[in-house]
Amino acid sequence: MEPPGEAPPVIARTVGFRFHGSGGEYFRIWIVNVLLTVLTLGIYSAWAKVRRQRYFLGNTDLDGSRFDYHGRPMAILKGRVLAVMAYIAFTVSGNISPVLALVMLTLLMVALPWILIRARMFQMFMTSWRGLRFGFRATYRQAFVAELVWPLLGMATLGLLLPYGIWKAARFQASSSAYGSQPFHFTGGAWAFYRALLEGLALLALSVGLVVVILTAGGVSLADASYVDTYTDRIIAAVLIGMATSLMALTHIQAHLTNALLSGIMIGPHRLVSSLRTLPLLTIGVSNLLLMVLTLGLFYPWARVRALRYQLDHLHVQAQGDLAAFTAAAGPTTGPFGEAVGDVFDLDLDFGF
Amino acid sequence: MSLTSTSTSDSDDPAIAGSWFDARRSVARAARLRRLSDGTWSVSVDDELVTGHATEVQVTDRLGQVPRRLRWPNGAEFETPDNDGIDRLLGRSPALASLVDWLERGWTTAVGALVVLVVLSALFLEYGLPALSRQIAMLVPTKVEAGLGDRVLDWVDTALLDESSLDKETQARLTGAFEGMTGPLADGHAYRLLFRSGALGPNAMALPGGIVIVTDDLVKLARHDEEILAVLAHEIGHVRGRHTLRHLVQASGVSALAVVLLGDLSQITALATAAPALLEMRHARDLEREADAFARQWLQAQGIAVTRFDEMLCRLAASTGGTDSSMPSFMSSHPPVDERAECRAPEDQR
Repeated sequence: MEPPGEAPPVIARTVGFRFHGSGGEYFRIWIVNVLLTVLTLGIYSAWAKVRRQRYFLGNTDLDGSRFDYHGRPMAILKGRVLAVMAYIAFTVSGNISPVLALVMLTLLMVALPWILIRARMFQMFMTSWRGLRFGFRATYRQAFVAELVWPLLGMATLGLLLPYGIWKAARFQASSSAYGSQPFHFTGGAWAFYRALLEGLALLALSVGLVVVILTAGGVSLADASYVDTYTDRIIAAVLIGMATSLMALTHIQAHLTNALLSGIMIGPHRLVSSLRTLPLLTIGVSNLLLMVLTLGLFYPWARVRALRYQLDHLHVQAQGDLAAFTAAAGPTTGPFGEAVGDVFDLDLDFGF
Repeated sequence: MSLTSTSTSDSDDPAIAGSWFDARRSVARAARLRRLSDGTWSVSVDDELVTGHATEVQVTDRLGQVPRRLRWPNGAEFETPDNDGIDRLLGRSPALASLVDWLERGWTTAVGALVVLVVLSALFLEYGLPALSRQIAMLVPTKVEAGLGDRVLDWVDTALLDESSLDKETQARLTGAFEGMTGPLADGHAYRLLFRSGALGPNAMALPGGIVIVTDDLVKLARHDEEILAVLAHEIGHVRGRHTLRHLVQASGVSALAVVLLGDLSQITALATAAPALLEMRHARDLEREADAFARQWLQAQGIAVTRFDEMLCRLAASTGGTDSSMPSFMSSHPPVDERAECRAPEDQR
């Protein structure tokens, strides 16, 4: 693939992501993870997390090389014990006195941006590709503004500034990240975020309109006392169609927000491009849900692999030349200090598998 | 970056083909891995030879078909899809790693793991959790429980119930009888009888810590004070057994189990919350049976006819729309009345 010898000419090319894992293989890993976690009263969950992360990253391929996960179970276990203790302290204090609960809540709000930075640092730094680690670096102020101020402003303006706030947060997340010594840049505009949400809202309005039309077609009045008995089939149709269309609206928002977020990212001269589409995503989501309900959750590993495969099949890098020019970051992010700080703050409490 | 050509061409070479990453640049270089007789790992990359002592090079555990990696202390890595080759060079893996890999590799062990999980969960729900919740509830100081009860009372008073309109005389008579019942118990609970009216119809309830509430409708429905005492004994049974706390602990235990088993299945949260709720109803019915047993025992000890309790239960059931047959028993928080008491035919009850 690489021309040997002289420097390769800069050619624009599309480099896709590929997922090599399979649902059946992941099922066996998942069920053993769950069993060992139950048998060890939760302690194994840290080891389970490492295996899960290694499975998904290690099966993800970009330009012929796999990603890798470096998290260590003992460190993750420490972080989890800490988080569980904080959670218990929080719950108990809430039961003892409302004042104490308020103090705890304030403390948590103050610490939140810092915690978010540390957690993200850990997540990124534990991931590598071609032997180089990813990184994350941000100031408390940046995180405070992006993760607390903007969401609050979005709510205060009844959603008018919500897409703008999401754009701000996306820009913060992306431009604080790095691969090796190369920081990410976020070049996407806020318009794509507004568009995703506005289109979703339009679909929701359409959904409500459809439901109203179904219920009242032919001049039927909802105030009629015998409505429920006379038009039961209409109600059932309205509920089903309302659910389907509003689910479609939400999926549309999810797909296009993800696209806007990822496609805005540039890593050096290379651009990420995500091209998720609403209907395939909806089909996967709904069929996954149905199959999980029918199998009492046992379909979960296949569902997860299917969803991830679709997402990675629609993600690629618009590369300028080859991807060999990145270099390792200098400084503490690669040293043992960065790792130790990050380890304790792996605070994501997903006990999922 | 295909590396397979080198590994298949000369099969007599025991070296493993893979890629080398030097941790300085994002370049994958074709490399070959060997293990020397003293256990040292040796990688030949282009014209270079990199070695690492067995104690400093970390080999990742086998995990499905995920490529294996050998990590040098400076961050450099050798990566290969040849999992079997690495296992051959390693000789033997750490016990835990090989156990986990053995469990994960075949379908027999996976199905076995599933069966063990189902059996364990059933045992935990049937025996473990009720016993555990009893232990935990008994550890909570009665003062803390009373504080919880006061807050529930505040909420019930604002949201559900109104002042009682029973005459003072009846209230005083029943309160006196209630104190006569609870005085000798001396179990650390601060028992209090409260009269309320409101949307609940004929009903009685026990709050944690010792508050027992009776509605006006229930007092009016009773044909004899002993019937009311039977109901009060049932509620005292709830307080003594710390049923509210046990119920709370059991409910959170079921949810915790659901989270551990189902993981972060945000998509099927509805299912994940409905199943525990149904299981919880079973526990709630067991607690009711326990309170019933306490009531009967107390009535017997006082020399009051146990049939007073049955009659009251039957009348309550009749007044709230016959026996609870409208709701399937697995969704109800109380056992069906025909299991709890022997009701006479409705015409006898007039």
